[in-house]
Amino acid sequence: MNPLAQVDARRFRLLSWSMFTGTLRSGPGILCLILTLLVGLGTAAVVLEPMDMMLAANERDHLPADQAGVMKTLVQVSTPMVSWLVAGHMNETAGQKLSPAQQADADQWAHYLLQDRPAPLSAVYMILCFSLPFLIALGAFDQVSSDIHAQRLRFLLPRAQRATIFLGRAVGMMLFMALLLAVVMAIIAIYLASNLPLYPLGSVVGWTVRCYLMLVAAAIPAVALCSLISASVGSAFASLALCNAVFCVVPLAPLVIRLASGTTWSSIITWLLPLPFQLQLFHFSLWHVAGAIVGCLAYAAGYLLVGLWIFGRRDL
Amino acid sequence: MGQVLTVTGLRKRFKGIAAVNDLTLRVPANCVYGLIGPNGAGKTTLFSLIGGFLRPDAGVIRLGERDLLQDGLPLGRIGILPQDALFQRNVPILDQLSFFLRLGGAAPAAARAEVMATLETVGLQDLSRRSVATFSHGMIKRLALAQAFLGHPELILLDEPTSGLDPEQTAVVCRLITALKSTATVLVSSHNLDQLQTICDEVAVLNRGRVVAAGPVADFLGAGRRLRLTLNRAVPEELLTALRALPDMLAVTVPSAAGLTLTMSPSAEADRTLGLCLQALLGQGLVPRAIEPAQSLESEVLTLLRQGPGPLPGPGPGAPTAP
Repeated sequence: MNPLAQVDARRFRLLSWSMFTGTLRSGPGILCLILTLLVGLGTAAVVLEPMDMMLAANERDHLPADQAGVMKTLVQVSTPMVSWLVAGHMNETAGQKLSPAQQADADQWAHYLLQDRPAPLSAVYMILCFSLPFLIALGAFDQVSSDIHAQRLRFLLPRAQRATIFLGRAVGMMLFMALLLAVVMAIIAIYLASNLPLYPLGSVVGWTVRCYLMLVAAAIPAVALCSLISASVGSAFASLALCNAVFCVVPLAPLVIRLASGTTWSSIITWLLPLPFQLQLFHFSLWHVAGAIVGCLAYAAGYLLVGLWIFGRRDL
Repeated sequence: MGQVLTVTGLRKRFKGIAAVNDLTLRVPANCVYGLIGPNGAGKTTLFSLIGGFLRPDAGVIRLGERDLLQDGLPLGRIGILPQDALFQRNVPILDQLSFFLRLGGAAPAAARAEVMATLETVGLQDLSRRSVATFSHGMIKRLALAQAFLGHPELILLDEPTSGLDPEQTAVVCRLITALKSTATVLVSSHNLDQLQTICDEVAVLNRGRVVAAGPVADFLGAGRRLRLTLNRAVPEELLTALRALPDMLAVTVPSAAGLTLTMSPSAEADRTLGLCLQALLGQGLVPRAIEPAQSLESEVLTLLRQGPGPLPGPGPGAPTAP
């Protein structure tokens, strides 16, 4: 029987809500919130640091403390670097020269992130996007694993189908992460806007809302992968270790293999995670963004289906 | 009303060791059915397989017409007391149990009312706002029983429901189980065979993952065949000889100075033989101060298990039969 056909809407809603509220109250949930906030605000502080240093230097040299001028200088300096970074993801083969079209695309992308949009927000949100899987792992590692270990699911199994339990909890965790991101990004936006009143409020809010949706799209597959791992191991600690190991090893392994052996095939490993899609979420073209969202959701669906297959067959 | 539970050819191995090995069982509707067996006999594994916690390697489990392995559990219609499952430690028990009922479709207020009523039956109504972190082992066991009774299930699986309970609570639980018979089929395992003898209509004896005998408790006991009498004084030898000569009397033994054990054939004449025996005793001024069955489920099961694995009794239409 198709397990997805067994999912019951009422039970699904109750289990999702229970997971959502339970995580809000739980230690891992609070830890995840605090660490995400620390990473977000820490990154924002680091992003503001060059600006503060330049302003301090101006003050020392008795020059006017012109935030806008300093920001313009910083953006001009940063644009080639950002262009290189985004281009590097588009063409991962080491040493290969970009085509003029690709270079133009990268330049336009960097211009979009740093000049069309509030540059400090772009920097913070992109760094947050790539550190998000590690933070999510801290909150989402234990969706079912400790309940498997404590046999707590045995109280639920006579009352809800396995598929409903698994998917309900996964979606509840996704809702929690969406709330967490909303809180953290709102605080970051307020912090940056109050420390750097250079951008119109509408621009800050608009870019924050759009980046919020992008980060939620990036968070969904990360939560889904945690669901899969949590359903595969009957120990919360093992689940936490495995989640972080996967999020750490998959991006780094190709780099290490390439450096060690010079081979380029290792970049295939990165496709185990939706890493190639994450950067595209911040692309200037809406088509690219839509494709990246679809890619992230497809990864999430894949992880959830594998997790569902494992959870539906394992002893609980 | 309860439904017939049928288990056919069930197998489950753990790392190559057969915990349940080609097990066949038929539990009639609206009865209390006991599962008996030594540690490792497969009782808990059987419960876990029926409850859907474990996936069998082979076999069929049916509740009425429903194939539980193919079609899944009929949600909310099976109540289970798992042996080692733990409740959440930081959530009030009222909330935990209400959530279980709400999964079954109950409205929040109705769920809380039913939970309070169920908690009252196990004596935990005053602790509904507390979490299990402060509960004793016995209280957690009663709570687990309450969750198994929630929602008026048709089939209730109770894995060692009275372990860890004091005698008073044990009696309460036994009364509850017996009362459930009118609305549900109850499958219960316990190592307290005297208790099972009291509450069960039928039992199955498991050993090494198989049913070695099954049937009504009365069949196991061979009702009325053997009686133990405690008299006001010792029985003279000539009277013993006379008693042994009574029709349908198979054996008369003297287990203690003022004791007497009568073994009669399980025929319709056994009552008449007993009457004649009592008349003879009273005629000699020997007054019975106590008469009790000399057989117990425990003694019969122990005898059965000591006989070893041997050939299995014929399973008949659905299950092996009592010895």
